[in-house]
Amino acid sequence: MNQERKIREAGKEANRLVLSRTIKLMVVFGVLIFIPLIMQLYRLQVADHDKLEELAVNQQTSTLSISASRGTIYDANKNVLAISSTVYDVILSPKAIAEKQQELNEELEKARDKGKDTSPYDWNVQDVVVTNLARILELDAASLREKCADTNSQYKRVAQKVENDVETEIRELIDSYHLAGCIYLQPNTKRYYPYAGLAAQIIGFTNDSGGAYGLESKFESQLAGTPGLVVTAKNGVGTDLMNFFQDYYDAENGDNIYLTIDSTIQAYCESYLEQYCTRYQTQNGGVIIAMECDTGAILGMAMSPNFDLNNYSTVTDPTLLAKVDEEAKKIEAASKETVENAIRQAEEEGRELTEEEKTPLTYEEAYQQAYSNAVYSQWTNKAITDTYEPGSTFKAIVLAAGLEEGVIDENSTFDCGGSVQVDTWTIRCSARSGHGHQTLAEAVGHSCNPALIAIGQKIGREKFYDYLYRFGIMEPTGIDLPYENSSNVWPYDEFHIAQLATASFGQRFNITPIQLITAFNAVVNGGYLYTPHVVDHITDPEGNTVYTTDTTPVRQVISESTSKQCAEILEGVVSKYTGKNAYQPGYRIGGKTGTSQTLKQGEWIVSFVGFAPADDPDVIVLVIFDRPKSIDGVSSATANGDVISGGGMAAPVAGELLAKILDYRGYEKAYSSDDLTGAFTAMPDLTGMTETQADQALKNKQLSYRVVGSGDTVTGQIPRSGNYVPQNSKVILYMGEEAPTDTVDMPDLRGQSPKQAIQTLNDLGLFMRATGTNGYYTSTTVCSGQSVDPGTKVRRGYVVDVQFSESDAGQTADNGGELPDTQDN
Amino acid sequence: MPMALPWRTKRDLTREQQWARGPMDMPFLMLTLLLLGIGLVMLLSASAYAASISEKTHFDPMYYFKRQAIYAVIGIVVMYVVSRIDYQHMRWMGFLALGIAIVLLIAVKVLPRPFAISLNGAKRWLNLGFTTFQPSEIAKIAVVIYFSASLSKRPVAQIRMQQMSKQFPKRKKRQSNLSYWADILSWISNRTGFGELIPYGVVLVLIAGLLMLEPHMSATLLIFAAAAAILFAAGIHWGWFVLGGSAAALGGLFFIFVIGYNSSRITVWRDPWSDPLDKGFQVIQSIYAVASGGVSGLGFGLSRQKYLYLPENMNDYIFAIVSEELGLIGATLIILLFALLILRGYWLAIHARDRFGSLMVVGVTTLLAVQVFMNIGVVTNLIPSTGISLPFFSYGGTALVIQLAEMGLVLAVSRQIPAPKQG
Repeated sequence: MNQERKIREAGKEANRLVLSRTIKLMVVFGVLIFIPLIMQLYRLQVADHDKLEELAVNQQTSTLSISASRGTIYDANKNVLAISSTVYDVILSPKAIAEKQQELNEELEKARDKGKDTSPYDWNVQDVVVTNLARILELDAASLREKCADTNSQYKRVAQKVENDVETEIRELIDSYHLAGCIYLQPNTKRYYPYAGLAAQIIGFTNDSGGAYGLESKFESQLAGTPGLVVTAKNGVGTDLMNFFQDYYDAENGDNIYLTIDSTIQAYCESYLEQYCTRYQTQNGGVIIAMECDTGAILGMAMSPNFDLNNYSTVTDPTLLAKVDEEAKKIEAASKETVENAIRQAEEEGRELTEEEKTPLTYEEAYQQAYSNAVYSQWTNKAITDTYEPGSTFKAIVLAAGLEEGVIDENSTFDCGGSVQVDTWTIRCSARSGHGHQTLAEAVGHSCNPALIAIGQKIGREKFYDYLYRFGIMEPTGIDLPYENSSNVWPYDEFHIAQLATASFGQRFNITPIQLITAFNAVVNGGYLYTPHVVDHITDPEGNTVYTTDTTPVRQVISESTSKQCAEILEGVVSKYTGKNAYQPGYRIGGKTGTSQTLKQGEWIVSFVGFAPADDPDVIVLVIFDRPKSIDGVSSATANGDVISGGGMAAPVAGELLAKILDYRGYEKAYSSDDLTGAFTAMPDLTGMTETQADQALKNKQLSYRVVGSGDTVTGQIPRSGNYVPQNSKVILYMGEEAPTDTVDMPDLRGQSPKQAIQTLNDLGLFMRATGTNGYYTSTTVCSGQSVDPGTKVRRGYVVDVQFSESDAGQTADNGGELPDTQDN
Repeated sequence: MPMALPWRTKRDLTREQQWARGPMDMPFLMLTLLLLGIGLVMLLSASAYAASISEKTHFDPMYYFKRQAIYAVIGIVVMYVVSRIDYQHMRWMGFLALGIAIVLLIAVKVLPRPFAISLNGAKRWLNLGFTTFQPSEIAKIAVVIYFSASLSKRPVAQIRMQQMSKQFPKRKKRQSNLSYWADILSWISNRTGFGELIPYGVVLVLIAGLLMLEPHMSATLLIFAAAAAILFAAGIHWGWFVLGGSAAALGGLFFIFVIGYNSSRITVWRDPWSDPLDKGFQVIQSIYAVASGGVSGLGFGLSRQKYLYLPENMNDYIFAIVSEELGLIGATLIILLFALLILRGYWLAIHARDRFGSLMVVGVTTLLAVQVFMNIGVVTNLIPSTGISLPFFSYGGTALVIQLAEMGLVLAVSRQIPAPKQG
C-alpha cells in the first residue's frame, strides 16, 4: 500500500513536471523559434529586397533593344542629305542547326523503318546553311563551318548590315529549307547619304556608336532618339516566356534637322572649288563659304579635298592621294633612319635589340599610316578649324573701323611712296614705286598697305583691339558645328605699334575663314554681326518644330551709314581695281581680294570675299585657295598661266559663283551704263530696209554691222529679229542673199584677246557676251573660258558667254607687304 | 463528431473505447486542414510550369497537384482512422515499431535497387512498387512512441531505482572487486539519474547511426530534437540538457569553425555567392525567390523563380515560391498558422489524459516544429542547407500521409481529454 501511494504521489509529481516542462517547450517551439525566421524573411524581403530583386530580375529577363530610327537631315529645300534605313545582321544559331539535324536524323530513321521515301530527310543542315550563306554573303565557307562547330552557341553573327536584296535571298533560303531559328535576321540601321560627298564635312557621319563627326555628332542627342526596349521573361534555361510578361517601351525616333544649306548653292560652291583647285593645283585644297547676309545662315560651305560620306574612310581626292604617297615615303625614310640610329646606339651600349626594334617600317606600313592621316585630314572642316592669315581681305574691316570711328572719311587722301616706316621696321607696299596720292576709295582699291597702316594708326591700338572684339575676331563665332577654333591674335599687352601696323593689312595673325566672313559680313550688311549657322530648325518625328535657330544679330558693330559707305568702296574694288576679275555684268558685286604669305616662300593662300548686290547685300562668299602650285616654286605664276593672287585666282571664282547664286535666288540682272559691253539689245527687223535705213536702226540700238551680198535691200539678217544680242556687237546683213541657217563649230577662244575673240566669232556669225571684266580691256586681258565648249555645233547668231580675266591681275596690286621681322634696322 | 460504428453499440464498448470516441480537438484539426489546403494550392502554383513542359508528366500542369491531392485525401482518411484508434494500445506497440524501424533502416541500406532507391548519393527510399517512402519517417514515429511509452512509466521506475540505491553499496562476502565496482557505478548512475538514460541513449545512437549511414542528417536532427523534447518533458534533470546542449553546441561550433572551412555546406551558407553556379546555386535561387516577394508578394501564381530557376521548387524549396508569391505578409501568415498548430499541439499535450498521451503529442508536435523551422531556415539561408521538406506543402505523397497520420495521433490523444465537468 505504501508502495502504491508512493507511486501515485510520484505520478502526480511527474504530471506536474510534464505540465511545466511542456509549457517551456511550448514557448520555445511554438513561439521563439519563429522569431529568427520572420526576422530573416524581413531581412530578405524588405531590407535587401531591392538589391536582390534586381539580381533576380536580371537573370529572369532578356532585354531586347529596339533601335530608334535616326532623324533625317534635310537641306533648305527639304532635299534629304542624310537618312537612316533598316538593314539586317545575319545571325546563325549553331545549336538550332545541330538540333534540326538531330530531328532530321530521327525522321530519317523512322522513314527508313517504315520503308517510306527518305529523301525529304536525307540532307545535311550545316552543309545547306554554309554553302548557301557563303554564296549569298560572299563569305568563306570554312570560317562559317568553324562558327557552326560551336553547337552550344545560339548567336553567331556572320554578316552585318546586309541590304534588302540579300535579306530577301536569305529569307527565301530560310523558307525553302525551314531554317527558321537556324538562321535569323536581326534588324539594324544604316545611314545613307544620297548626295554622297555634298557638304560632307558639315553633315559628318555616324559609326556604330552614333554620330561621329560633323552635324551627326553635334546633334547626336536630337538625331539619335531614344531606343525602345522589350523586356521578356525567360525561364531558367533561357527560353523566352512570351505569354508570361513582356514590357514594351516604345522607341522614340530622332528629330529631323533642316539646314540652311541649299544643296544647289552647295553644289555650285563644290564644283567651283573642285574645278579651280585642280586648275590651280592647290597643294592644300581650298574653302568656299556662301552666307546669307541678313541672317548669318550658311548657304554653302565647300572644302577641298572632299570625300564620300558613304565611304568616309576612303581617300578619293587625287591631290590628297598623291600626298599620301609622298608622306609614306617620308615616313618610311624616317623609320629607316630611326632604326639605323637605334642599331648604332645599341652596338655602342652592347645591348641586344628586339626584332621589332630592328625592323624599319615597310612602305606598305608607312602608306597605311600616311593614309589614315589623310583620312583624318579630309574630314576636317577647314572653314571653322583651320586658321590662316586673312591678308588684304581684312582691310575691309579696318576700313569700317576707321570710318565708324570718324578718323577717316571718303574725302581722306593718302600718299604712298612704296614703303612706310613703322617703329623700327620698314613696311613695303605691293607697288614698289608707290601708289602716289590717292583717295580712300583708290587706296582700298589698290589695297595699299601704307594707307591702311595710316588708318590703323589713326584708330589707335586700344580702339583697334576693341574692334577686333566687336567684329568677333577674338572668339569662336559659335557656329553650330563641332570643333570650331578661334583666332590666334596677339594678347593686348603684346599688341604694339608694329603689330597694329601689320594687323591693319591683315597679316601676322591667324583667324578662321568663318570668323573672317562673319566679320566681313558685318562690314557690308548694315553693320550687324550674326552668328553663322547651318541649322535652320529642328522638328520632332511628328513634324512639330522643337527648335529654331535664333537669327537676331549678336551686336551692331558699325552704323548702317558706315556700312553703306564701305559697301560702296568695296563695290569699287570690283568695278575698278584689284577685284575686277570678280565683275559680272548685270550684278552689283563688291569685294576685297587677299593674298597671304605662308611661312614658306613660294606658297600663298589666295582669297576673295565678295558680296552682292552691293547696294543691299544678300549673299556674301569667301573663296580661299590654299597654296596654289607655283610654276617654279618661287614666282607667282602657275603652269596654267594663272597668277597666284587673290585677284587673279579667287576673285573670278567668287564673281561667277555670286552670279550663279544670285541668278538661282531670282535676282534680275540690272545693267548699268558701265555694263554696256555686257548689256543686250533686241535685234530689230531690218528686212526690206535699205542699207541707210538699216544703218540708222542699228545705230539706235548701238549695234554695228557688216554686209554680205550686193542687193539693195536687206533680205536676211543674223541674228533674227527679236533675238537679243550684246550691245556693240556687229550683226550681219544679207543684201539679196538668204541668211544661212546651218550650224557652225564653236571655235576655241581661250588665250585670245577680246578683240581677237570678237573677230573670230563674228566671222562665224556668232556673238559674244563678255564677262569677268568691267570692259576696261588691257593688253593683258585674255579669254579664260567660254560658255560653249569648242567643237560644239551652234546655230548662227548664237550668243556665246566669254569669260575674260587679267592674266596678271593683282600681281602688282596685292602682294601684301614685306614682313616686318625681316627688316630690322 | 462521434460516429457510431454500425456493428457495435455504445454499450459494448470499453471505457477506454468510449473515451476514444470523445470529440476531436477542432482547432487542431482545422489548422491542419487549413495548412493542408494552402499547401496543396501552393504546390499547384509551384509545380505547374515544370509539369507543363515535361514529357514525364505528359505536359499536364496539374500532374503533381493531382497526385498530391490524391495522397492528401488518403492522408485525411488515414488521419481519421488513426484518430479513432485508442492510443493506449500504442504503449506496447512502441517497442515493436522501434524494431520495425530498425529493420527497415537496415533494409534500405543493404537492399539492392530497385527495392531501395538512392538519390543524390543518399540511400533513403524504399520502393514498394506503387510508391516509395523513407524508413526514417517510420523511425521518427517509432522513437516518439517508444520514448513516450517508456518515459510515461518513469515515476514507477524512479521509485524502484531510488529503493535500489538508497545506501551506498557495501562489500559483500565473496564479492569480487570487479562486481563491487560495478555496484558502485550502478549506485552512482542511479543516484545521478544517468542510469535511466542509458537505454534511450542506446536507441538513439543506434537509430542515428543507421540514419547517418544513409546519410540523412536532417532526419537524425529531427529525431534527436523530438527525443530530447520528450525526455525533457518527462522530467529528466535539466542538467543533462545543459550538458547535452553544450556538447551539441561545442560540436556544432567545432564543425563550423574547424571542419567547416573545408566543408562546402558551411562556406556556401556563409556566402552563397562564393560558388554561385554550383553549390551556392540553389541557395541563391531560393534567396532571389524569397526576396523578390517583397512585402506583398508578386501575387498568387506569379512566381518567376519557379520557371526552372529554383531547383526542387515544389519539394524542399516550396516555401521560397510561397514567399515570392505571397510576400512577407503571406509567408508570415503561414508561419503563424504553423505556430498556432504547434501551440495547439502543446496545449493538447498539457491537457492529455495521461503522461503517455502528453509525451507522444509533445514528440509529434516538436517534430513538426523543428521540421518547419529547419525547412524555412534553409530556404531563407538562416541555417546551412540540409534536405528537409515542409510539412503539408512539399510534394511527396507518402511523407504527407505519414504526416497526416501523425496529426491523427495527436487527434487520437485529443479525443481522450476528459471533458470539463459541467456545472
